[in-house]
Amino acid sequence: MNSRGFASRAFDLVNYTLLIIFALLTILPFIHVFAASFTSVEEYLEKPFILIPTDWSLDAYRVIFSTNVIFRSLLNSIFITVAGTLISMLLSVLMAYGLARRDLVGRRFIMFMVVFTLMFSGGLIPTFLVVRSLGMLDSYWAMLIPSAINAFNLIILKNFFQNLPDGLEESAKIDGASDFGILFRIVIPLSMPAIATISLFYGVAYWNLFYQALIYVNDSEKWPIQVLLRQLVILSSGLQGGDVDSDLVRPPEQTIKMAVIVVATVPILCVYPFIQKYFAKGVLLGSVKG
Amino acid sequence: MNSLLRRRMLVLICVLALVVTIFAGCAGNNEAEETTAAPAAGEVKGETKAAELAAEVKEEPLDLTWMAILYTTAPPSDVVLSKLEEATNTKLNITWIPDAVKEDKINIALASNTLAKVVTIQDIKNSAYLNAARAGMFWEVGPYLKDYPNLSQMNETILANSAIDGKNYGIYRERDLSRQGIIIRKDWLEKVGLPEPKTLDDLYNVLKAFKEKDPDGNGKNDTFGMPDRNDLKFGLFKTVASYHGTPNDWGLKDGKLAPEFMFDEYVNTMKYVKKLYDEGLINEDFAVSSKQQQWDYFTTEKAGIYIGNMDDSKNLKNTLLKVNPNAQLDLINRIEGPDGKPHVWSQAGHNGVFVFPKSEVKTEEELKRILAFFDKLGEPEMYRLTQLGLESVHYNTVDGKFFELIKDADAVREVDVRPLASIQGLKPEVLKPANDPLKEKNTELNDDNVNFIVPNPAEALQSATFSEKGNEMKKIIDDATYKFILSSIDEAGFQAEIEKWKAQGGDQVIAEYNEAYAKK
Repeated sequence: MNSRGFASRAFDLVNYTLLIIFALLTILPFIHVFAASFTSVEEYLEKPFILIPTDWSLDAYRVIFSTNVIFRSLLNSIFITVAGTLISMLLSVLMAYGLARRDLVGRRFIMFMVVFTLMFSGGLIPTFLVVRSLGMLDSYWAMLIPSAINAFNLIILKNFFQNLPDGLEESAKIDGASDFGILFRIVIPLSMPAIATISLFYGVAYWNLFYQALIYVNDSEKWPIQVLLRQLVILSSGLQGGDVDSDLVRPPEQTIKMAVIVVATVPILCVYPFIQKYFAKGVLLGSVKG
Repeated sequence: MNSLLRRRMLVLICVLALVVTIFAGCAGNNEAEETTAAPAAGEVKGETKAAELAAEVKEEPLDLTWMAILYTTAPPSDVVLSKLEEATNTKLNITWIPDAVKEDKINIALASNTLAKVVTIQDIKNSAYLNAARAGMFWEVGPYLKDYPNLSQMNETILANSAIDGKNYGIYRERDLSRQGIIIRKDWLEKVGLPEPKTLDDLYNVLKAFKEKDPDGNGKNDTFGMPDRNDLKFGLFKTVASYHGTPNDWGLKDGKLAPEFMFDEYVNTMKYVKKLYDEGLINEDFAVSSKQQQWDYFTTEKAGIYIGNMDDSKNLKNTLLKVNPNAQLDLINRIEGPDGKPHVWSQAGHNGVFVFPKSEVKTEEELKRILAFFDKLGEPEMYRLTQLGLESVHYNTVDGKFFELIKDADAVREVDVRPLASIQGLKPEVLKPANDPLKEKNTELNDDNVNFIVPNPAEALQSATFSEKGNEMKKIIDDATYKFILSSIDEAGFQAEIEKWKAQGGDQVIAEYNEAYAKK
């Protein structure tokens, strides 16, 4: 330790300070929201910035769970996230594996079509017309199918599959594995880091989904939590600007807004720890020897 | 070779599987919809039959689909809505569109022709709506109104304001013409020993006293006069401007329409607000404050005057009382201008219209029945239903004409009643509150404002240039106004910005409005 020079230690000090500041900048607003959701309205009004509530109160949660609206939309969100991620992963893996094969006829053309959608999209109204013609309006499918495959995620997966050594596949074939056997028993287990990452991308996207729900789904019983959250936040902050028509709009308490933010954020946060181990692991650790 | 073929087969299977999954998804969905729809239809039929048996003379209920705007977090429960359906002999099928996406939804619905029999249009200057109306997509209801007892009583001015090229395509959602006024801390006013302000100079003196005389009595110099927000119209500026005698958006200068900022009164208002800002009587960050921040200044006892919508007094009071249970609020609506008379700007008197697309309402008979429904909705009993809910469940009547909200029903009122305000058109009566002096005064002053309102002479007029880029052009003037108040430009600089506005299409807008005005 003593052998380290002053400059090196000073550098570390600055580094740590900066990193801690950044970490605090990220975490403090979240703690504030969390604390504010557990405090009474009176305390929230008196203190501009709460980190630890002194006047603990579950009132906000009592209000939001007094009707089953929030609860039902949470269930909707969980369903959409789970079903959506499964559908998206199944479709993306199947397509990415196909596209990763160098012997696929028309591969370049299909890839071009995929990349094309990265840069150009059909626009809101044509997409709406397609969804309507497919009879998906007002159903969960409208939130699951139109965005089932994300071109960006697909390309990442495809590149990942392409980097697997050919030798693996050949050896599996020699051992008598079928093509699907190779995909599901060799390729996918070896690609867990990529699959976990992409699943998380899809999962978070489905959890945060609200625009499709707003546009395609009129039935409020099928709305995910984000739709309610957005409506509540906009109502309570008067973001729409102008004169809020007081006949129509009554801003809810700020603590209620905070409680809904917590309810809408915590479930997806809980998923991260389970997936984290895949990020840390090496990609192809020990699959091919020598 | 063999292995290559097999690989190709696998790829083909992958692609096929993908396609099949998608189709299976859609098919499954249709089935699910059908199975859930079937029993629902049965129920409806059963109900109708029962209703027919009960009252054989009754007409078949009117089936009404409706795209209405949702201003609460969730759509209303059935409690009041079913009573409304019963009373109007209607089967309402309302699609609730969250407030935040109403523009997108309406645009999509117009473009893809997925409308309902009734569509709520909040912003009647929306170009997609204007084009659709001009293209004849909606029934023109103007000529039919005279046949209905309540609809025939609709206010001429508001009808004119909600018309397009002089034609009425819908039933307006009626609003007070002006609710602008001053909300003031009565206890602070007593503390600093000043009378209620009556003129602009009085107002200045009160603001100064609120800053300097420690009105909250905590011994610290931590208060100022009044908070403002980043909104020249619904913040304090426009209301203070009308106190100075500035016209409302457009005014007459030598018999010709001219925009408000070309009048001396506008410049005088800027000078007045600049003085308040320079002396620290307005929050320093007003140009970037949100409405929430503005409210927080007032409810956390940093400031004692709020100029804006007097209806805000209710929410401000509720929050303020949690911080200081002894706080007292009062309302003022008459401030004398330099000419010794009060003035206040007025809005259009409506907050959008209900329109009836010809693609959904196919026959004139159907239109007449729908109009009869809106006529019925304009009766006092229906109005009470959508505003207050059910008597003795949500409110009580005092002395036969005042109402008192039942406190214990606050939570259910949010779910049962409040969302219904969105579908109310006419306001057949003034609901007089009992045992709530502030709300009572609020209602009274809203009514009193009508005596000295300044209407916008161009409200019902259309200008093609203005609807195309009026909002972007307005930014030039808004920015210049802020800059003047913040002392980064002087009067000459402001005039230069007006020239810029004129050059970017302002001259055209003035010409078009004057042309439309002359025609009228």
